[in-house]
Amino acid sequence: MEHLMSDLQKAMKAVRQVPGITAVAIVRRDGIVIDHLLPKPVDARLVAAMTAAIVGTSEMATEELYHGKFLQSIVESEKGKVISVGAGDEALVVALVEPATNLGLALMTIEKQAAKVGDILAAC
Amino acid sequence: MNSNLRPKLREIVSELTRLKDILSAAIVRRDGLVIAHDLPTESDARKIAAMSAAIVGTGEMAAEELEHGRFLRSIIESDVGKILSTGAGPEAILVTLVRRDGNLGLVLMALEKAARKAGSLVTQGGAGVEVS
Repeated sequence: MEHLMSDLQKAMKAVRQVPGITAVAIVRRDGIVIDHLLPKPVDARLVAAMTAAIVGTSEMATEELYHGKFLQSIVESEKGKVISVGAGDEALVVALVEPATNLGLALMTIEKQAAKVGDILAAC
Repeated sequence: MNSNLRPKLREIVSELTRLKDILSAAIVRRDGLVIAHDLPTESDARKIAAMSAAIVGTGEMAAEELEHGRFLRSIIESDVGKILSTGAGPEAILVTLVRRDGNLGLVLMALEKAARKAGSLVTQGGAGVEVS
């Protein structure tokens, strides 16, 4: 179990190394926090709940519009982006990103680590 | 009420779908009603309008709760493609369906320009009367 948590931490640290990514969390699709690397003032439970809401609505939209399986969602606002990427069947990786971040680099890293997180969680 | 509003909005939508990466586009009200669209059937347009209002509603809630400022845009990726919902002024949303392998940078540029245009038209013209 400890091994699992350190593997997850490693994946999140890899994501946070990207300049401009301020916070990372791994959450269950039902909105419960699995683990996080969030700066102090950010409430992990709030991030998890908002991510589950975003992904829930996105999944409904992709299904209703016959767009296949939901893969990821980016919500852009004035002060940054919330990127939610599926990590296996049960989890999501969510990252909070500053507005001027290199989105290509951020997405590449998050997608890679999300796939790893999915594998780690599937193996346990 | 500007009588040219409808063709003008329709023109913005058609201009977008001329890009090969954009499969279809619609301008909808934030409450989920259709204003103008370029979809094969009316029921497709109504569904997209409803879905993008739900997406934007959730996005706005998340932006507000996470103290991320005003909501600007949401991009959803799926197996088949992307659903992009951008605010077009305070009353409307511009929603587009984009190919899975589409050039997102190019699409976003066209989208922002179109959203600005649509936003100012809707604000001038009064979108409520234009609902079909």
